[in-house]
Amino acid sequence: MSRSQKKIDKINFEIFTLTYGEIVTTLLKDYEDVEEVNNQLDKMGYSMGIRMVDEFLAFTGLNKCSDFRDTADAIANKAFPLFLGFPAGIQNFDEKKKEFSLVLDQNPLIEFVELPPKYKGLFYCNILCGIIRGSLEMLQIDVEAKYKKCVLRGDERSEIFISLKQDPKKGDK
Amino acid sequence: MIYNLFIFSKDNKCLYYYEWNRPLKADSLDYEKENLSGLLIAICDFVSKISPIKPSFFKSYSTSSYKLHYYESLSGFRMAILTDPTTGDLTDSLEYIYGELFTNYVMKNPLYEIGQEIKSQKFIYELDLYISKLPFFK
Repeated sequence: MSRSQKKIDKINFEIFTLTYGEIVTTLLKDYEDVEEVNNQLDKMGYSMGIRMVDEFLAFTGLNKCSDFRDTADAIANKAFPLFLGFPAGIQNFDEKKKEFSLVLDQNPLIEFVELPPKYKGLFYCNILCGIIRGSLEMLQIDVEAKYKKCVLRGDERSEIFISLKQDPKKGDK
Repeated sequence: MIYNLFIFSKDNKCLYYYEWNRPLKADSLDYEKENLSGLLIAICDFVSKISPIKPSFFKSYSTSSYKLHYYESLSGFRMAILTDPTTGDLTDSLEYIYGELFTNYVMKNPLYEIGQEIKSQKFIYELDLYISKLPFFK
């Protein structure tokens, strides 16, 4: 049985988004502080990321990336479609500083969401940053992932900013 | 014939060991695990360094009485299976063990602490089932 036979199970869209919504609302109730909720979401994403990366590797059978550009491509065009069902765009790729922005045009997680004014500081999908950070860390790539813009906060598009913390020669994916 | 299997973590800890056939018992299993892990790291490093054409991965070595098959995931998990020297290529089986059994029953188990010994009954059962069904098991 080779990799090509592996299938990804699909989950009902509403169940997925409602479950995630419920997690965020529970966190908001428990912590009552938007910044802390952002942190918690990031932490949750991190623990998911370090587990999800094996699924990703087994499914795609990717080899080591030769440079950071490849890594960016793998995240945007392979990992996003695999787990969320849509590709992300790459913008402002900076070869020297080793940083880029992931642009999320579609995002099933925020389909039904509208942020009330008192939660304006919340990055609703901050879990994604944690996931990216966690999975790349398992591949010896230390990055910083941060939400820069979010549609829910009134920006024209959602953007996750990712920058590399170490020499990319050691990195792989 | 399949003899035994090792799974190592990124930091050289043996996460899982199982033997199906092993007439000669190890003097000290801990010592053996530690040394094997070190040996594999050294081999992998050396093998890819002398490769005239890149990239190169270490897959197996054989001796007069056994053959060692090796698989390493990019996330740093390493597996080795010892079989008799006539066994063919085991890469597909090792990929299956990693991609289907290990990811599903170990990594996706939220209660499994990464880097700890694997005690999941489901994993152990499924692995045993899969290995014993392989055509060259006996």
